[in-house]
Amino acid sequence: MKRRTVSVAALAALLGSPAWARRDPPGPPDPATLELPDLTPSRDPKVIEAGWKYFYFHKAGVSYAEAYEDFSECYRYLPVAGANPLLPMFAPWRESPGVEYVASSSNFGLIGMGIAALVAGPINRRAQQAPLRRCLETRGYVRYPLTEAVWSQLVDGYSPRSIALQAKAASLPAPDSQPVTR
Amino acid sequence: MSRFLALLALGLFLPAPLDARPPDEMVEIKAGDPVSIRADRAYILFRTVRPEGVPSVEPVFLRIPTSAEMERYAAAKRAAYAQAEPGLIRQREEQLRRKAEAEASGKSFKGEIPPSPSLDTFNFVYDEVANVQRVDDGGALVKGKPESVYLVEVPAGDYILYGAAYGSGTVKPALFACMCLGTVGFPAPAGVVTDLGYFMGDRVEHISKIPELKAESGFGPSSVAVFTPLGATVRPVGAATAVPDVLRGAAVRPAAYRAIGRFVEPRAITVNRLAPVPGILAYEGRRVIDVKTGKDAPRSR
Repeated sequence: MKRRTVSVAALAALLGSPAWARRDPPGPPDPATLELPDLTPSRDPKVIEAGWKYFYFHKAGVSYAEAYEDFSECYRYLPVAGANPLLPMFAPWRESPGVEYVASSSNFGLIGMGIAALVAGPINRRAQQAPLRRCLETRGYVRYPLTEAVWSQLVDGYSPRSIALQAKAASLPAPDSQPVTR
Repeated sequence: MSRFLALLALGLFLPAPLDARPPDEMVEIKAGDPVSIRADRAYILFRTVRPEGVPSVEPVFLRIPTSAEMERYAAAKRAAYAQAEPGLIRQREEQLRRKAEAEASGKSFKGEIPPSPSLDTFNFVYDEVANVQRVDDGGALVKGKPESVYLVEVPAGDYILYGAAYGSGTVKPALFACMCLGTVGFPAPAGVVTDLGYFMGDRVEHISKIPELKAESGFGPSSVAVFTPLGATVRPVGAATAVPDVLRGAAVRPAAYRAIGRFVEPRAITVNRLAPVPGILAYEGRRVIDVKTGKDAPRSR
């Protein structure tokens, strides 16, 4: 049967996590082997103001092992790069559905691609953060602000290693700062 | 900025040329259409509420495939895998070779090593059946404001309220939000109009005007990627829920809702959970609770 071809290339290019995120990660590494960036709360008002953009998750009383399980599960909800979301579709329900990928070509020409490139960073960041927020915040995690540089080190492009890093950060004693509410 | 992003997003969804598509399983019975309840079909009845400023949000339903459909799906997947396996093995070996070469020359390897090919990990897109469909917001039986009524003819089966979509009058129909973190299911038997009560959806960046969504909204700017995320819930049939006159004499029964646990849908633009439904669906931390039993709601996989 023929496939639908869909021109949603920019969406495909802007959003998404690598395919490994859909697979079960290996077991949690020894947290003692994990080196975290400096999470000391910043008093810089600009960092606090931008906390809704750059933050880490924390849950009072959670163990590293529990946090690792939570992050592992929630990473499965990261968007898949190029996945076609158009309806109708088939889902077998008892197993994961296949993903139809859309071609990564531009619909908007050079100017459109230039604009898309400018907004791609923030869009991609939010596209990754939104499902993690929804999944983790319903489990009692709250957000604390970070500088962009520290956030970048901690999130590490949503690599498998970042699951353990974020789990370790989440299970540390609560920071002496206000949670992000925006 | 968010307005610009919205415009960009609208542009992203350009018309999709459709070469072939499975039959539309959900047929909206519109105002003025004759209503006759067939014994071999099922019917879903629901109302929507749109206070001023609330966008049109369409429910997306999944019909759990029948055993016969799953057998055909499994056979098609096995056949496709047998054809693809040699290529998948070559791709993996090629990536392993590149990794080894990079490491031998002291460079880091940035690529991805695919898993060993197997039927389980094989990405198979099946398009003989489309069991995930939305109800077109343009197909109301009674178009009103703030309330509209929808009557939809569907195959008899077991359904999951799978997600929500922006009204297709403005953007292409897509799975904008899956209710992957908890939702409800219900049977829709043949010859019966299954009354879902109310379906309510809204953007959840700001606090919703819909009472049931207030505690499940107001997520702020970082919840917005290309689109503002959608939230949804149902209000089951109550004593005051009116049934349209055209259904007088038909077998109209309240939906026998049950809670459904978490599932993964990699094609969804974003994820959410159905807001709690009193007496049916509740949450406690990571737990999705079937209120009727007090136990964890079953997960799909």
